[in-house]
Amino acid sequence: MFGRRRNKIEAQLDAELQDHLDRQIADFIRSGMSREDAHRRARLLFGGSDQVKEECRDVHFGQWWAILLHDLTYAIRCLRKSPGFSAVAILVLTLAIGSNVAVFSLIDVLFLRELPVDRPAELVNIASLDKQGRTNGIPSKVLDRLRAESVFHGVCGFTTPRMTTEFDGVARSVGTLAMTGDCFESLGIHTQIGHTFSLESDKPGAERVALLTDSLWKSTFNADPNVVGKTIQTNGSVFTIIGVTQAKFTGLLLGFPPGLIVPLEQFGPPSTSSKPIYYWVSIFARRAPRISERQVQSRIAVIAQQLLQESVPMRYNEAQRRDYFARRLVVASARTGVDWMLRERFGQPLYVVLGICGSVLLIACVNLTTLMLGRGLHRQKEISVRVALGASKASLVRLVAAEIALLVLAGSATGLVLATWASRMILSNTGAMFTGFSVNNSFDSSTAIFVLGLLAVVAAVLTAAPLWQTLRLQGRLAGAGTGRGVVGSAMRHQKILLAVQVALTLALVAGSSLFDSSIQRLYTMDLGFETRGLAEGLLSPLSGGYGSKPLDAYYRDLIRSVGNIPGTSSTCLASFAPLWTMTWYQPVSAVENTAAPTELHSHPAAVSARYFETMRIPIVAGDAFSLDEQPRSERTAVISLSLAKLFGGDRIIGQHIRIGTDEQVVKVIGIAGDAQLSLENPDDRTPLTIYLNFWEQPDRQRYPALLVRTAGTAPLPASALTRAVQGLGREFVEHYITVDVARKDALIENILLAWLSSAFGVLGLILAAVGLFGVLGYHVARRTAEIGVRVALGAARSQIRWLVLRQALAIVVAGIVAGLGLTIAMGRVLTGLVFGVSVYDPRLMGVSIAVLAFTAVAAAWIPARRASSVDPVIALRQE
Amino acid sequence: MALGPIHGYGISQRIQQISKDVLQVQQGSLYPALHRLEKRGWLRADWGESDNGRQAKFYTLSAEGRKQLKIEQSNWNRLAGAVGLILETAE
Repeated sequence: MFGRRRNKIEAQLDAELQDHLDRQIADFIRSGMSREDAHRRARLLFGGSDQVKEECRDVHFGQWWAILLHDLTYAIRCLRKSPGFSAVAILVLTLAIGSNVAVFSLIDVLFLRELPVDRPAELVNIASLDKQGRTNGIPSKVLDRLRAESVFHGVCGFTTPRMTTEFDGVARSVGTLAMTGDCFESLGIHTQIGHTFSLESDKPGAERVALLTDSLWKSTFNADPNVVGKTIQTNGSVFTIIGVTQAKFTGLLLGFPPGLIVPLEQFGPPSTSSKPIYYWVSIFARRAPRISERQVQSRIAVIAQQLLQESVPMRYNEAQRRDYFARRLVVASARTGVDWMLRERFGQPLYVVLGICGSVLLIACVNLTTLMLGRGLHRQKEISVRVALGASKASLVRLVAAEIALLVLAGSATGLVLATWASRMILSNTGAMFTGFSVNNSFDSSTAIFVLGLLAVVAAVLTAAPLWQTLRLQGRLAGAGTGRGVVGSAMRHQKILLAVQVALTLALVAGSSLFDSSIQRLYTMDLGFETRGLAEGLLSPLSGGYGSKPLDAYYRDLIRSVGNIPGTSSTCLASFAPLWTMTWYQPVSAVENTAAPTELHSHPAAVSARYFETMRIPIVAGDAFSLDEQPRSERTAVISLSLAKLFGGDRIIGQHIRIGTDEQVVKVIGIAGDAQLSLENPDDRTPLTIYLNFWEQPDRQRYPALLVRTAGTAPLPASALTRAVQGLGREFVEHYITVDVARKDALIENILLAWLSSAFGVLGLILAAVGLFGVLGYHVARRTAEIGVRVALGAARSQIRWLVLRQALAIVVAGIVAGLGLTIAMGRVLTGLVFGVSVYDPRLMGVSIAVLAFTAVAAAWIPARRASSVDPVIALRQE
Repeated sequence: MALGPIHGYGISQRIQQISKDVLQVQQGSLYPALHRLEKRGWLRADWGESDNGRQAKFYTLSAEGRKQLKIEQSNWNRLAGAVGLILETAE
């Protein structure tokens, strides 16, 4: 398009110039010249036609880029002339832009990224919520009916079971996606090698097949192109590999990329009965063309009861059935996939961090504006000359804008590098906390849009004040002819901006000290058990799976053989890992004590005899589980102190408690001290725990945690534990962690918040100091003569120093007052994010103010000293 | 041009005529100036049939151009007046 316009203009230009020559020649001939002479003379008069054409072309095309080039070259020259300012500006922009982009890219990964399947916007997630509002699976039986619904164009049921797979004789727990055979087609998941499976293979008794995802194929099979047809052993069954999915497919559940994909009906052990088996699944469905999400919602609302009636598990008792029918089926967009806890856990902290980054960026912009106003004062003469020579408004605008554009571009280029590095570092640090956690953190289009928007805003904000300053100067020069007065008002604006910066910095420093003292408390808080010297290992079966052999005898052997490792002082098994696994609450009620509250929820944990000793949790009344191995007539429990208090104190010993939906009734034999076994809600200092006897709970014995305490403070190393477990040949240590590390991991979002906000707080302080130093320094330099006069007239050095410091103090005091208001206003947002510290703690506030005031005075001290050491003779001679 | 549409050659002839041959510039340098004025919107350019029966590019002063002309004229008069005054005082 551009080319065609160009050709047309070119042709017209030729015609126009030719026309001119023709007319001139015709006139000359008419006046009696020979044809040849006329030609020669006409050309001579016209001048070099190529040069003329070139100039005309410039008018149409060349001008803008020639001007741009000129402006940029000039801007580069200006920036190189003041390397200190340029370096500070680029560094500040790098940090500010880089941090914003890094945090945004994390938010993008968690909230904005689409599911890696075909047309994800058409997908909906059908979930079932129980009375407490928690998301539960749905029995795969409902899929048969959903497939027949005309509002859908394909459905998919999937689950992510724990599977042990053997590669080259080594058992590993590999992320596995078990899904119905129609998932590939419904969602649009494609292979790069081999083929997918269909509903045909998704049947009990069919040949067991599996697909590899790109990551497992590359990491474990070295991207072997002949992988199709090979077999692997998973949970006791042999699977034939039939294909490899495309690289872009990273799973359906946020943060948990699978390695293996198997048919839903085949991940379990071979079925002996002919009855169909149903699994608890998550459900995705594709909306049929022209069917809206709302239409799907109303359709599901109509058939919800029917779906629940049809799918209620056969083994449920009356109470369980009632609970089941009370569930609600909800439909939501599955465009960005589904998530278990990452969004809930990191969402709010990340948005707060983004807010902090945004305010740092604001501070940086204010800071740079202040510095640029100072520079603008320096350049008054240059601009005056330009205006006198007839520089137009537009050229002055370009002069200012080119410089800022260059700074912003340079800052954002380095900022992006920093952001890539930072987000990778944050992800790899937080990734350690979930086994198999990983997200794809490459930048995508939403990050690109964010970056462009950010740059536009930064450039606009930075341009505003210098531009205003320059144009005002131009206006004055054009009118009255003198630049005086502008200086004074620019100084005043600089001071106001500095005060704003101090206010923002105070809010930042106050926020970070809040997060810091909050995390300190969380670190040192007494959890009710001793974390030091304690290690835990999560156990998984070897690739043969658990099978149907009883586990009792094996587990007793295991405890004995781990207990024999030198250095261990106490060992036990538990159905959960303290501070590591998520806790699940179940309703509990007292059987005999009818006065006790009925709507209580408690965390049921099966633990073996030495648990309380291993954890160092005191028994406050009654007994712990005994070591003798005689089977009892009834199941027993030890409950936490807080739960006992709700059930009537010591009286509960010897009485019974009914637990949850499986209606288990247990006899309370003892009361243990309160112990916070999870930090999901650190504010909850009254944990309601009900410990069940591990040996009486065969249902809770699979995938246990092995807890080991050593005599000293150094926990048992992973290798010793691994060797002891593998020596018995039934399980392996899927994950080993010391409880101190687990505690840190459980607090990772708080640590992240404290760490990042401290870093930004320091950055804010540095920026404020640079701003004060720069402005006061310039001020002193400008007033050298005046100070010289003062000294000559007998002013004391301390008086001169005070002259400068007073200005700094005025700025800082104004800033602190405004900052306090800001901090108090901000407090409400932060309250939910800190533990055990008040947002309005006067001590923290005092420390923040002191730190800020000290930094400010330190920054002002050097200019003040320089002022007080002015030699009046030299100063006056300069004039 | 204030009098009506005129082509480039016509303009060059008029300048020579009116300035009584005082201004002797290369004719070609007229064109970039015309194009620049056209680009700024002070001139309008149309292709039309001319006296010799061929297509030629005619320039007309636009409304905005007319305004600009007034401004430049008054500026020039002021400057010329000022320069004149200075020279007179110097005598």
